[in-house]
Amino acid sequence: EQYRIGLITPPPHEWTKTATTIGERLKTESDGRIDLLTFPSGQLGNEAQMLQQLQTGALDFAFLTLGELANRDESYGIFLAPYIVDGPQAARDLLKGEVAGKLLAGTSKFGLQGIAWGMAGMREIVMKGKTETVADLKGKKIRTVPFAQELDFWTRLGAAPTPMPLPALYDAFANGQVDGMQIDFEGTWNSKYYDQAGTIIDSNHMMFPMIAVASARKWQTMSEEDRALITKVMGEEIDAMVGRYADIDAKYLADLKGTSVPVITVDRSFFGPAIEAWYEDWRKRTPLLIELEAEAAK
Amino acid sequence: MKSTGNPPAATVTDTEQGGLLAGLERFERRLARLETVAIGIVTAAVFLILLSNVFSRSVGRPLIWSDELAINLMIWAAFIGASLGLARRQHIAVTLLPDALAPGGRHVLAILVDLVLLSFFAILAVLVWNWLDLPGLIAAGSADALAQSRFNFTWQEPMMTLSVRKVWFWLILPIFCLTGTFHVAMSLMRHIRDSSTTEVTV
Amino acid sequence: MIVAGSFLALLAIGAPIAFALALLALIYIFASGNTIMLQSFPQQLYGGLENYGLIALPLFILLGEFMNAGGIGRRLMALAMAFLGRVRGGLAYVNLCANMMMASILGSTVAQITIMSRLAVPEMEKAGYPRDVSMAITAAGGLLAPIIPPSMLFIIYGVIAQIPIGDLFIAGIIPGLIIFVAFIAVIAWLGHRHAFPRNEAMTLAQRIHAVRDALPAALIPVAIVGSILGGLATPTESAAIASLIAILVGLFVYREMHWSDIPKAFANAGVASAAVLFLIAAAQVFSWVLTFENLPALVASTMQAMTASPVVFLLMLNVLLLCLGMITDPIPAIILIVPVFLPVATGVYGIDPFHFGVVVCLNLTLGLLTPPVGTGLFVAALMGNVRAERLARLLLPFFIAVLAVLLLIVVFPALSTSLIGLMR
Ligand code: NA
Ligand code: NA
Repeated sequence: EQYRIGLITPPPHEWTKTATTIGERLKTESDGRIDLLTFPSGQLGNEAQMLQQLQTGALDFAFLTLGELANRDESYGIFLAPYIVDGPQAARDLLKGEVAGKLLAGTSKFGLQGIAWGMAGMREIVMKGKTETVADLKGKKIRTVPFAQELDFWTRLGAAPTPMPLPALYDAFANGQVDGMQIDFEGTWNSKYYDQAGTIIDSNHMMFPMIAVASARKWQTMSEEDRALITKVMGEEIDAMVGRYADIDAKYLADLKGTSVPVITVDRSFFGPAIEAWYEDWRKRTPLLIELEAEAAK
Repeated sequence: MKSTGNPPAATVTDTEQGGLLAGLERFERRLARLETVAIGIVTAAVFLILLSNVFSRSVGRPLIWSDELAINLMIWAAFIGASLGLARRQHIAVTLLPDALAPGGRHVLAILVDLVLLSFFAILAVLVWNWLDLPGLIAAGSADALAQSRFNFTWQEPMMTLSVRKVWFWLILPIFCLTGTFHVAMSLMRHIRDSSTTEVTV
Repeated sequence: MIVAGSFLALLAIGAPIAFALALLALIYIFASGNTIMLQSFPQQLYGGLENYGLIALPLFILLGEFMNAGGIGRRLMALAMAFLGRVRGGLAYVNLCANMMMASILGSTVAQITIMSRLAVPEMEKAGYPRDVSMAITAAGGLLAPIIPPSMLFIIYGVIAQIPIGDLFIAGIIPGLIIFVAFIAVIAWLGHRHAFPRNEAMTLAQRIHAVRDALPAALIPVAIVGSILGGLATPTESAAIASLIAILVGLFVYREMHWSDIPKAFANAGVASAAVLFLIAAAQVFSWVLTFENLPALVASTMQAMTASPVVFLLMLNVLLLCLGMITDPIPAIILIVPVFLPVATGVYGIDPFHFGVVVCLNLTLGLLTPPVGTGLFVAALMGNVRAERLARLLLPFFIAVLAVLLLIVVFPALSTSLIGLMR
């Protein structure tokens, strides 16, 4: 049986590599019965288009960022809570927890079958100019993705969150249409944004979650045996991938420290009272966040 | 191959003639006029959105929704223009063979092209009809109910930064089907009429 | 086979190319039996245009309309001529150099062709150059836009390959300069063949007048460059700013434009860009269908089985890309090809990803001007009122020049990779 998995990440990205590994393992462990074709770089369309193809059953699987789901139900953005975890290791536990499971099950209302949660590198901040305190971020245009939780975080810091397509970012940062960005160390290094940077803030302030889903329509037609195998293999490989991010983040941070750009390491206190205010508001908007906080505190 | 065509076919026909066809041609001229004005307005809106985006960003208050709105308005202009382009013969085509043929043969090809276009619009119309599933929506009562009962999420689709449903922008597709079909049907009728007059005079 | 045959048949009878492509995608879906894709067809047709970069198309055409209505283009060319002595085909070189400068700011061929055809072609025609040849030179000059950095194509490639975009730009510098020189040679040959006129030398008073008269017009290029480099605007937004200035200069300084020209310009720009945009939408749907059927991966594995030599692999890939470039535009083609072929190129053949990127981008750039589906070609034909077919024939020497350079780059990877090492 031939299946297709769609991703927006390019072939060298960890998510795509993981999808390829999953395909290889499925082929061996099903004795060649399951053939999973990987379509990286948004070849089948952007995430909205992929979601629609999942809903009709044209596309079988996808690794999605939060955008489309959080846009339909704000609860899917709760993993963006600042400092909910202190790094990839804690994130790995939280992404396998009870709240994560509830959200996976909840994807049925979008015509999806949730399979596993994953993530990319922790979010850091890269600024054009010298940055020492949170006051230096005031009034600055920061490139973000347009998730409500993330926009709100930056607005509370007095900055101007500026969504912008990734291909436009390099020029925009070089020319100054944006003053900074929220990104991971891997992207900072690979796209050489540090060349134009004045300060790199090693903040680890946010996760960047990913959800692995199947088309609910297609899922219903699969044999019990295949479903179990796919769930097992995807779960294991994605969990292993999340585990690798601790090393990936550390490696690229070390690379960046080798450049002439100053790297400052900060923690939750750097951002001041804005974070507590963020939590107070979002506990009301997405009560599931309270459960997530309790789980993270364990 | 050519990119600019004859003047709008509708303007060169005999308007003295009464009857259904003349009435339809008057309507087509009005439709083409409306489409031109709509394209102008939409393009002007895109222009103003980009300018205001520059301004708002320079004062440190970037408009989060402006890019998405500008893109979708541009798409409206593209589909309205694609329909108008059928009336004005402005679509790009390879005209090597038609140019090499005698007027009679060219006429047959022109009718053939009209039929090809009509079949495209027929298929697209069916696909858009199934996709939007208006009877299903009415029966279900709401976008959410339709999504629950029929796994059709079209009417539910939100936009990323604008707080309207995407379907308001997607409505350009059924409009495109209607106006495009109309322009092609008019062209076909003219071609058939012209070929019958050619036969009479020959 | 059936699919390719029906496409050729549709083109031959003179069906609009955009509709032929969209129908082709539908035929392919029916032929493959994956009819479930039909449910996504309307959304894919719409979604193919959901790309911020495409807004540059109507915006730069709009700027061209305003520059034309306000008498701005004419004065800018007069300014360029004021600095020129008696050279055969002088204006043709001015055109190419202006293109080179524009290319170092803009990344879009279409934007560049639009502006340059409004600036240069009317003046060249007045000076006695054949209109179609002038338009061909302008269209060829537009090829420099995605080759000389910054370049939208390089950026998209860099994002897919996950390699530094700044280094990729550097990799494009030498190939870009070689192509510039090759184009100068082609123009010299054309000048000989078509007997380009020599421009008359101006008197000092004429020169001073030309410079003074062009000062307000010069605000337009200054606004484009300044607003981008000053961090005020993206390249697309710079067209909006420049349009605003063109309106003001045309209305109040030169007084050649009337208020009634403004709505006309908006409608013209919208209609002119729509034909091209709809074609892009159709090409996107078509490449979505090809991808879904996994065709690129099948081709990649076939090629892999055929040769072990990196040069032979690259040559075969170039033939494939030239064919693909004929029926699609560079951006959908890059998304179709690179994710599948890059891992093969670097992993199996050990090709440097920068080298691969320069080859692929340069090759696909040609697709902008190759019939039957070439956005740049159509925009040039539209702007210059020349038949696209005639234009394609006149562009042939330029194509050959680019192909020769491409071959050079395939065989000598150092042309694209050595500068990166030096600049590090
Ligand atoms: Na450029
Ligand atoms: Na082409």
